[in-house]
Amino acid sequence: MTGNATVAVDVLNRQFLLDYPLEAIEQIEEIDPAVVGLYLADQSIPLVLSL
Amino acid sequence: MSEIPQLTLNFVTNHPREAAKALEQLAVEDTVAFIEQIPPETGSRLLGLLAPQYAGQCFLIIDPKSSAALIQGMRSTSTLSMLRLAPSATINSLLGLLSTDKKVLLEKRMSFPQNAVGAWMDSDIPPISETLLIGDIRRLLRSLKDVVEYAPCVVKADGTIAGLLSLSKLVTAKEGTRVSKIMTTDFKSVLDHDSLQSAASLVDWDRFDALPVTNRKGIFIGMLTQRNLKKGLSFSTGDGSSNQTDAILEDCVNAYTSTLSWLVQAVISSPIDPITNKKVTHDR
Repeated sequence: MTGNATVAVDVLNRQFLLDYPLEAIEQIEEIDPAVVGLYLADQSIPLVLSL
Repeated sequence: MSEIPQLTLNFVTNHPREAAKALEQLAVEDTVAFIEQIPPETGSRLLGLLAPQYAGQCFLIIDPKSSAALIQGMRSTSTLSMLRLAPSATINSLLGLLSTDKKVLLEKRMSFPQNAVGAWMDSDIPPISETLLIGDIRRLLRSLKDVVEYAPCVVKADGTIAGLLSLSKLVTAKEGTRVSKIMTTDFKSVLDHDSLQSAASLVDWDRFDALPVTNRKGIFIGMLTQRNLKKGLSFSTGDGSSNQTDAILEDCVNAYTSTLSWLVQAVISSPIDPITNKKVTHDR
């Protein structure tokens, strides 16, 4: 069975946003908004709204 | 080299412990797919922080081309914890990926009984000569790839222990101060053949994150950290093997479930009624 790195990326991004929201936001602000949209697309709405 | 977002890489690099905990919740295949796409040094660090059983499972499916670089970059104690849970065939194949030096070191460690201090000591941080100046030590420690998490051991010219250099003194002392002037000498060392239980009974653990380990001749050979002491104790008291038991139980449950589903399928598709043992006819 082949694994999917995207699953890990989504989980790690969520953990980053939950555990270190300020640090994550500081880094997100440096990134192109279109790319940020891709990062946040798979995250839960309450989590995204809390940022 | 990878399509992994920078945001994710930053999290993994700056908070590897939290990242490892999150990865342990995933299927091993997904974690491996991720690790194979990140820089090898970051991958090695992550693998070293994963639960040994989980890390071992990762190595069973990691592409052989990547495994050599990854296992070579792991700390010896993390590799050892993983190898202790692996079947002998896996141990041999993993040891074959290592450089001769590291292989010899790990084989030596594995020759110690599981509850001996020598099996769990850390030798990744080298001892410091008592004649060195603080500035030299700072430069030396900065050049190491491993982060110094405990007071390094200071040794005499003959290799015996002179003292411990506390990290607070290392940070605050002047560059030109000789280490022998500020090192701590009030502590006990442990022998490599001592049991972990006897080492754990020392009161010095209240003041130090790691204690030096010597051989029978009194020569410094490594450090026993509190973390490794706890890890070793959990192995020798059976907590570590619970992971193996879990894996076996999980296999049994999977086997039972697949047999049951096969049985259900067989009963559903059979024209014989399992209760009446008569051929089933579907009358409309």
